[in-house]
Amino acid sequence: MTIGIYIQDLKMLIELFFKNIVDVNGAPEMSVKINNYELYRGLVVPHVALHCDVPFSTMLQLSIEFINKTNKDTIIENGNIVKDKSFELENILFDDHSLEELIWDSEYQCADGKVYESCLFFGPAGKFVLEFYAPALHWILKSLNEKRSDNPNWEDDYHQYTKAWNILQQISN
Amino acid sequence: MEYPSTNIQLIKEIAWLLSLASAQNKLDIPGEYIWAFPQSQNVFNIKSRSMSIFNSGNSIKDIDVINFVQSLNLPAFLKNPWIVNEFEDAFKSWVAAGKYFTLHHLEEFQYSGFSAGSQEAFSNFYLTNRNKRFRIFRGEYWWHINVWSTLGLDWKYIEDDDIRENDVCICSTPFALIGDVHPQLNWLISECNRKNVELLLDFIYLPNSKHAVNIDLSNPCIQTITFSLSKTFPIQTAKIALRMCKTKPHDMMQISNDENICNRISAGLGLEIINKFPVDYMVDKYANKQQEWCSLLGLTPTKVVHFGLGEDYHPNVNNWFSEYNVQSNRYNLGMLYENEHLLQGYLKE
Repeated sequence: MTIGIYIQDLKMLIELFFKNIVDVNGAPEMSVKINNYELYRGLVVPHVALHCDVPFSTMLQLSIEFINKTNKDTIIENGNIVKDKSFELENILFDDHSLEELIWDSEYQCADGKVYESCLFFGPAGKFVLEFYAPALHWILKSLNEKRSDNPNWEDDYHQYTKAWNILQQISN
Repeated sequence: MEYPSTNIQLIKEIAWLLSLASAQNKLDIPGEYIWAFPQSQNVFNIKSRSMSIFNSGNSIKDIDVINFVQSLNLPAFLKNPWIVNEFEDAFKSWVAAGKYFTLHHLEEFQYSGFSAGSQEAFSNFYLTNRNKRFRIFRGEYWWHINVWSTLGLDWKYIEDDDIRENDVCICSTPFALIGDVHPQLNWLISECNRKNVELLLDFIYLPNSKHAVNIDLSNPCIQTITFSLSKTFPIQTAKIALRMCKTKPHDMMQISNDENICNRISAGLGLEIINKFPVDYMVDKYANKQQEWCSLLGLTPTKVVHFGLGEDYHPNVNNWFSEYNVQSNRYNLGMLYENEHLLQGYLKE
């Protein structure tokens, strides 16, 4: 799916990994969007792979919205929650590259207005939101080095990787 | 030693390309070890592999040898009780026919034994000499030191102490790190002769060498020599080697040989290989490619056909697998020869 029309688009693969998917009154469902463009709407499954075209060097917002959660989906007995329609985001890959700890640079915006920083648990109705830019690998390497300060040559890594990747694509074609 | 002409940028690019091609299964000839396959296209996996892509002393994965090996009926060798002896006999003639090296007085080594890779012969040498001090030059095959350190055996680099009576020495010839005879080998032989110290010569790189080795094996210190096919042909995981001694050894390996229980599949494979491919096969086939690649990358060709020497392209990185695995200036050119189709496409870009 193309996210808008841009002069220079980048193809991107987004992979989402979920765990602890709990059904109550049916399975959890989600809507995955880049900015306002929906890439996926349907059941939450352990692994979702989404292809899209995104604009170059523009801030983007990945959102994963929990779209079918109601109060009836939380079963309470004696004041305790005994079962709750929910799921957890385990990992995100952009073009095969794990976000690693960058996944925590996100927030969960509840439908009732509350906002939880660094929350990968989909309990309340709401959406997970993460901001990044494309090329995603550039954002990952730059951001990880800002956190870890362990790879001053990250730009060289980026250029070496992308050059190798482009050459292999050209040779293959 | 400095190598100012080394084209670090091009070497890095090729290293990343081969590494990513490996993850995408696009190499002309894929690797044969788990560590040669990045787990994914993740940039950190690719980077890590790129930094070891020219490491190791592994053989050239020659496609003609690979295809020949795949055509063989290896289980049939299990039914042949003479196959190990046949391999041992054929090997002596095979190695003696080498036109690029000279082993004077090879005939003095009357006792041959099949060895499961050079490592089995080394292990037996360690056990036989377990109460002695082991000596090697810096840059020698790291496995020796790893084993000695793990087992608590006494060892010291030759550079760090005189040769003493209770020492035993090992020296790869050509020497592992430089692809040529160690510059102090003649001195070492003299010292060992003078002090009645045994010197094991490891000829694992000999078949891939050109005009490096011209040695008199009648020197009394040289009692054991080892050969292997592991660095010559892409059959290293079959572990095919031969130990030759001037006097009959009394150790585990010899007992297995006497009992006729050596690995017949490997021995049969070794026999087929040496009957098909002459000892100089790799040198004859790849010497020109070595010159071409070394010229392109600014490396110095060694006398071992799949090595070049140059500036380290990833300095300040820990040695791979073992702290003793020092090979930062030695480039294994095998992957360049093997992936010529892929790399020609790259070099055209």
